Amino acid sequence: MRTRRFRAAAALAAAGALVLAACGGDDEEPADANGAANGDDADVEEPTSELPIVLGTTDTVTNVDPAGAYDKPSWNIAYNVYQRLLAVPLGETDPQPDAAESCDWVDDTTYSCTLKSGLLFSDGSELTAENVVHSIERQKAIEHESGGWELLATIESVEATDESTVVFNLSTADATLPYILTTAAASIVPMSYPADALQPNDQAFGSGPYTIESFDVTQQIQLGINANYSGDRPLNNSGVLLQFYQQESALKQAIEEGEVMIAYRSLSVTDIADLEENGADRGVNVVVGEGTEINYMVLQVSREPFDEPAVRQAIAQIIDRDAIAESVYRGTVTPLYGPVPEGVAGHVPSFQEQYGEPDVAAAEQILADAGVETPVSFDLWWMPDRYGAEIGDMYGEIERQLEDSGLFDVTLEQLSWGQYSTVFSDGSMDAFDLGWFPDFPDASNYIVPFFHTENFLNYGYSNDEMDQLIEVIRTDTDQDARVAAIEDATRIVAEEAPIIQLWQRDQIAAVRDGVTGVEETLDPSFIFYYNMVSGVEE
Amino acid sequence: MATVTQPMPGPGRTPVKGSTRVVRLLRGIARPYRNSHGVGRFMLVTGTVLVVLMLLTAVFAPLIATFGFSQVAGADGQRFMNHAEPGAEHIFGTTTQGFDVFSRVVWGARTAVTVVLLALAFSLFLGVLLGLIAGFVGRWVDRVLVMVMDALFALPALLLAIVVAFLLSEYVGGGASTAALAITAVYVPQYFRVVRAATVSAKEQTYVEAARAMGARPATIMFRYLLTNVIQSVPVIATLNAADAILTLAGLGFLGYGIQPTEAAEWGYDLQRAVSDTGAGIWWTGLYPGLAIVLLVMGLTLMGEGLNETMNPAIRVRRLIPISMPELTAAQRTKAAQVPERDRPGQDRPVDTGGEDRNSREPGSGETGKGGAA
Amino acid sequence: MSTRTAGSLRTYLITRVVLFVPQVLVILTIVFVLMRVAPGDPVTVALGGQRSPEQLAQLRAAAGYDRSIFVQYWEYISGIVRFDLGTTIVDSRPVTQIFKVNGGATLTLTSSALVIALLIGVPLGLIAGRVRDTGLDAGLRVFGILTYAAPVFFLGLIFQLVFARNLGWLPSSSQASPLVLARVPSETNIFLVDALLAGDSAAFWNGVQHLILPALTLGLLLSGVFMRIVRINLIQTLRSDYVEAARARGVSEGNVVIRHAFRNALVPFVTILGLQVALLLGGAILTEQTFNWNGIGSQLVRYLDSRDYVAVQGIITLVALAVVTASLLIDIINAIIDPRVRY
Repeated sequence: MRTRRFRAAAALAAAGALVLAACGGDDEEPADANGAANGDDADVEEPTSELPIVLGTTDTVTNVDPAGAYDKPSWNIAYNVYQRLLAVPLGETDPQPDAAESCDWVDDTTYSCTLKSGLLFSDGSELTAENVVHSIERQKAIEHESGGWELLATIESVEATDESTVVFNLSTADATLPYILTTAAASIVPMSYPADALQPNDQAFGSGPYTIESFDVTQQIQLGINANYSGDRPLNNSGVLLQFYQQESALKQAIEEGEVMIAYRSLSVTDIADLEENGADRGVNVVVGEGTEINYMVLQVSREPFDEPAVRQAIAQIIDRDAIAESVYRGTVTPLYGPVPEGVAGHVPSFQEQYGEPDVAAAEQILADAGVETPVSFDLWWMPDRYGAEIGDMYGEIERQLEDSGLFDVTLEQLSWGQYSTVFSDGSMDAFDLGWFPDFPDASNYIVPFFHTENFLNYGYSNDEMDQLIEVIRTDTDQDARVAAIEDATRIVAEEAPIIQLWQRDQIAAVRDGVTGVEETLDPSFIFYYNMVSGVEE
Repeated sequence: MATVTQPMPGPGRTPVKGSTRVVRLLRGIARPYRNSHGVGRFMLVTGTVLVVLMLLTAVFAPLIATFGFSQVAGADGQRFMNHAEPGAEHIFGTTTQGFDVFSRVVWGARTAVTVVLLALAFSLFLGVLLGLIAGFVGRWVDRVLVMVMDALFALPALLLAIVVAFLLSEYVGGGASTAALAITAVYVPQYFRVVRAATVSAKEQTYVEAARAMGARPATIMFRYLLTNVIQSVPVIATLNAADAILTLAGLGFLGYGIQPTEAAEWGYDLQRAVSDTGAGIWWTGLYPGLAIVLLVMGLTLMGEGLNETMNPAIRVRRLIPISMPELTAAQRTKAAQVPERDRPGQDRPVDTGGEDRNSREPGSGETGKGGAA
Repeated sequence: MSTRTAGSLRTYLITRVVLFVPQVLVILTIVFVLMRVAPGDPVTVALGGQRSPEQLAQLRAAAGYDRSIFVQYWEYISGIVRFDLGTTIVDSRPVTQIFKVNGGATLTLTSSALVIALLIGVPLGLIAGRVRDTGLDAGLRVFGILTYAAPVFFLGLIFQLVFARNLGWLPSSSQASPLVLARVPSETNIFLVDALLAGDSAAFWNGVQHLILPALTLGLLLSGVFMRIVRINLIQTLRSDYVEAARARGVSEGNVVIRHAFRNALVPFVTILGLQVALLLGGAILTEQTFNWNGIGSQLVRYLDSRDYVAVQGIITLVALAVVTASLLIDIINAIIDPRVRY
């Protein structure tokens, strides 16, 4: 439906971690056939429950064909159904072999992987180098509008030199390829998947630990164990049942009543507070995991009224993040004053440095100096079903802050994720909310996809100085130089305010008594490895 | 006992003076109260008291409410606590957004009353106008209008309201007028139905025949004689529909298609937000808006039923089951079959039972209006 | 009613069935017009935002809205004849699939609510009509008004709070426990029937437990309405000539009430049932939302939130068809049992 400029931005997203470029096949990090993937090596054998693990969620799954989705909930199923060549083990930061035996650079633009032998898809067919070629090529042929394929932009061609060897030829040097190969976009699919169309969701299968038994996004998705799985991930349960809820309150009731064993994304702030306080009496515990989700407001820089920097700066000057964190989220989020969240190298509270305390008079001055007529009116979009229902309250709060200043006239608009995800980048929204789960834990992932001229938001932001900094971030091997560049970029973001970051928070799940393994999988990778979870039926 | 047909203005009556008119109006309003007794009176009086209280709340909301409906900080700039328990400062507590529940409930009354009055005005205007035209003009105009209205009537009221709200939201915005228009779409067919049936039977009445014979223009007849006659059956339906409209509005708000929370306080929206709270033992955010809806709807329904019982003698007057029917023309037969059970009486029954027909239908139409009730 | 014969019943039924077609056509036309009558078109409404005219034109062309309205109308109507209502925008599901998969849940909810409403409303209405103008009558009427005045989501919330959260007697949402849902194979997409087909009595019982609160919530709403109709019908019947005549013949008052009045009060009630289909479905939207019930109403809300006008239009179309069909069936049944209906 919608035309979209080609964007290499998503690929750039992955391009930051040059210093982490050491990969599975390296000398210093010898590939281990019995793999350390997912940190299972230290595991004591967990009891395997007979019944599947029931996981309740309010998330929306779109497609489980990796060529048809670029959203966390769908990807998460892909991570459990397919294998990738490489994976970042739980609790670690470097890619390690998954389906690959080993991977190594041949030269700057050539990367070669050897596959493990004897890998089978759930239908019994063999996983060979051809599958990898097929997977990558169909991603690029389908060019699904969700945009996941753009991650693979620097891969010019893939060839299978023999049964078990696959060679990637890159268009430019891209040291982050190993990271890209850990994402769901590089999932290895069976040859039976059409080369130019998506595999129907209920017929999707892979070589990962789970296989899809039934698929209804409005009610439940059943995952059974893939009997042919021969990878390294431990299997602590006999299957997973994803139960979908439309409302957070229903999800909370379900976990209290024991209908689900895990409630993961999203419980409301009120629900979490209640469960933390009284959950134990009802057999529910709240689990907090590392992982930095951020939320931000994008301003459509390409046209009025946000083509005028003063208007953007005035908003940055007025918004009171403390009020949001305290009054809307009751302290469950931390105010975020820059593009890189706290806890990640390169974090600078640049907005705080630039604007200080929220100050209406200063904002008025900024607008007056630029000769902007007030009130400035604009539409502000948010989605109720992606980052929690509080988003609505947050924008209610922001609307109030902006309108109380007398400088802005805000119209709130809401749209659910299904549609929102396909329109936010088409330039139709004056200003809109989004969140970000990092693809990998490096500061570059919070800068490059957003502020490069070729960005995934398509919001018209372009700054030469920024592009140069991003070049450094992508290619410089000196970590200090990279961090310095990230900090500089952060300051430019605050000055120009094309995007206004609002908050960051940890991952939260609620689990029934007797459920283990959730804490381990809530790591910065933001992948929920279902196989880690085991549950004792009460 | 007053019957509907009693105060019909005869042709050539001299215009009454202003003061007399007011007296007559007051007397007209008081009549149902004087004439009622027993359960009917109890219902009428209780209902009226509830409705008047809500109306007063709506009118004097700025005086009654302690805070604005989206106010989150006191005069001293100190922000309200979220989920504060009912206490001295916030007698009904505060919501998850830190709004004062009491103020939200009070302002919500204003929203409800505004929307319902707007919706009533719109749908009365449209329904009565179309009903008069259909009933008076007859022929194909009538048939087309009846078909269209019937089709609208077949759609679940809430569904219709949701869709209209959805379609209008982008253009009219999420304010009171969108909600009112959405509700209007639901109730036009009902007024149309009643007014049309009454018109059909009334236009056969002698005084209308007489006026026509004397050469009165159709428009004059329609508005001078029919309207004044027909309009008398409206209060009961209007009251019952208002009750229903409150529920439809709340339903819209609950589903998130009603009035945007920043534009006005709305009980349905507040209840929706309270769902999470209730599960966490925070009862005050849901209880009060819920009770407000129940009280207002009950008030209106009690009043409507009381009025119905007092003003419309159908239930107490001996009702004859028509034994012989006038011969139907082919067209009428078709129509009767097309519009099962709803529109028949006005057409097929002896003309002089017109008054009763309306009455016998009213409970039905009030009832079916509850499609939106939900 | 002197000329009522079997022939007229047949004529009535034929007329009624023949008229069903134009009736459906009219309602479909209304739905079509409704979706197109908004200023602009569904594409603009659905997506909102600020798009350039070129972008909008492109989107309209993609949706087929740039063609003549008559062509679109023809496609819409002929699509319905082929039972093809298009494919949803958000998740590429055929709209008819929504009905196949989610219709069973709505059917279960509405039919059980109807039964509950009848079980509560009819006896109470008969009692209230019998003892009219007494304290009991007043009490029953206030009860009826109360059930109607409490929005289903408020009543549902109270039920969830009391029976699910505080007492822990019943589950508060969904059609069945996730594990039970997963183990019963979907044959008919009506969970309770599937459970029976699978011979899984535990699953059936689980489904029944899940059904109680939503069905009761929706049933109560309707019961007040039923009570009112039955009460008024009974009062009118009790004053009718033939009841008087029976009294005059010396039939005991008890017999008059039970043998003559009750029966005659209930027959016109069947007529009204047809009108309640719309009410039931309207109430079901809110009930499903309150109880996380995966029916048509929940789907409608889901697609509305995504502004998926194809799905919305399809769902309304099918709901309208369901209502019209239901009222046809009820009219036919009614004509057979009540001679007064056939003119």
